[in-house]
Amino acid sequence: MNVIENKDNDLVFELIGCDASFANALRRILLSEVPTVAIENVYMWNNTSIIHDEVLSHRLGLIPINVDARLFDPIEDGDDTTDQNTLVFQLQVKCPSRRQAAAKAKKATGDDSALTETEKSVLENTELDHAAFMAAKKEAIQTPGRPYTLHLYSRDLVWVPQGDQERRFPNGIRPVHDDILIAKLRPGQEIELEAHAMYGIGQDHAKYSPVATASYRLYINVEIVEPIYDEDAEELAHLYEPGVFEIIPAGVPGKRITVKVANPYACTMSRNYMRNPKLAKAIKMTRIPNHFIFSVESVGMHKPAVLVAEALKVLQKKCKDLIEVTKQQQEAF
Amino acid sequence: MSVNEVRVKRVDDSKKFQVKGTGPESNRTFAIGNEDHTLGNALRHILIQNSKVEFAGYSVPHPSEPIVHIRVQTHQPTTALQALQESCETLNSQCEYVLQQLEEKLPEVTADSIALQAKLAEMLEDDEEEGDEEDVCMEE
Repeated sequence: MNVIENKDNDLVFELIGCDASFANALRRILLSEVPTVAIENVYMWNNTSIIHDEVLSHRLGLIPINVDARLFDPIEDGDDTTDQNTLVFQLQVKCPSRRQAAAKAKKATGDDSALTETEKSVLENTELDHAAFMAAKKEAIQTPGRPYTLHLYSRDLVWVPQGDQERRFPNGIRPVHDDILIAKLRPGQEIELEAHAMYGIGQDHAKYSPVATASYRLYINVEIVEPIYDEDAEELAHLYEPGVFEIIPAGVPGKRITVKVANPYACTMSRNYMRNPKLAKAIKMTRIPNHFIFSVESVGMHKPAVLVAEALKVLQKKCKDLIEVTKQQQEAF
Repeated sequence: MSVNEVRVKRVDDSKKFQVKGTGPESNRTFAIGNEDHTLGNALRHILIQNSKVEFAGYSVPHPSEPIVHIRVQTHQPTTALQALQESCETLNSQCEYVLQQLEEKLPEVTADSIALQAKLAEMLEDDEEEGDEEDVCMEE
């Protein structure tokens, strides 16, 4: 195994000398059997926005939540929700009406001389909307032409700790990304809901998949069978497989340049070079059947390397469980 | 409102592992519940590389039932069950090896597992403390 590339959420590594079945098992487990936590049940108290309850709850379900699922108990049908298996989020937003917003804008700038007495008293009694209004005002700058539209983002989900969760997660729980747009509200519209997030695996629903992609391809062995010079070399290096070949001085009298294989990882096994009959004869590309280039892209709750380790542990658990039952079977006879 | 109305089917305990077939113990079909191509194909590959195994194949009889059938035929005196068990052990050690390599090459894996263990231990400690408190209450 070699690591080729390891960035924040991307990992590319090689698996050399293993079966396709093993690589495929690893890929399938990464996609559908490494657990995460996602919103599963949504209790809608009030929704006067134009987004339907179903669509809204689906959108909420797809928000990745930055929490380690290994600290949670799986929940089966019929299990009670407890602080060990459920996270509670609340969402309470209201887009203030135009009149309220205008009045508040004046109040915020300290200029409320234009307000009538009734408006003032209304404002004083509706302090709760202040934060929502400030958000709307901020949005108004970002979305010119739609000054009264309130944008609802994933950061507006408020985690409500249950039981001892506050102690277990002292840093709080938030979505992986703060800027996922959930809904847009027009003046007077509001959304009030409670969302329960639970442990699950990708087999149940794709929202639980901890990876954006997990895939593998075979390593391509590039061989130069016959020497390639000058124009052909330039054509090959620049046109057909950019990045794979490198131009070097030929070192042969009468010839200017030649090519060598510099980076076979960039090779896409494109057959374009075969258009040139000379190159078609000179280059040989073959896939190596037991050399995999595996790429894993994490959604963000775990490092991709950790996900691969988890996937391996899941596969190990499958094996161990099966060994266990086969032993029982043997004893039975 | 539930986001996901359809959950993956699980088999009952009686169907988690069944042995099908009669005659000599070298020929058996194993029906493994709650598994799919992931394990079936991986095990089949390992089985056919074993020289004691004459034939190995797998199938998922119905795509909406989480059951995989693994057919194993071995050369005597190895029994099919032994071959299956051996293949599981091989796959397990193969995972172990890759995991070990992963930990060597990528330090964050070890760091993560240490952090997780610490977190779990901490949670366990908290639970125990709570238990103690309850005991105190009981005595009072």
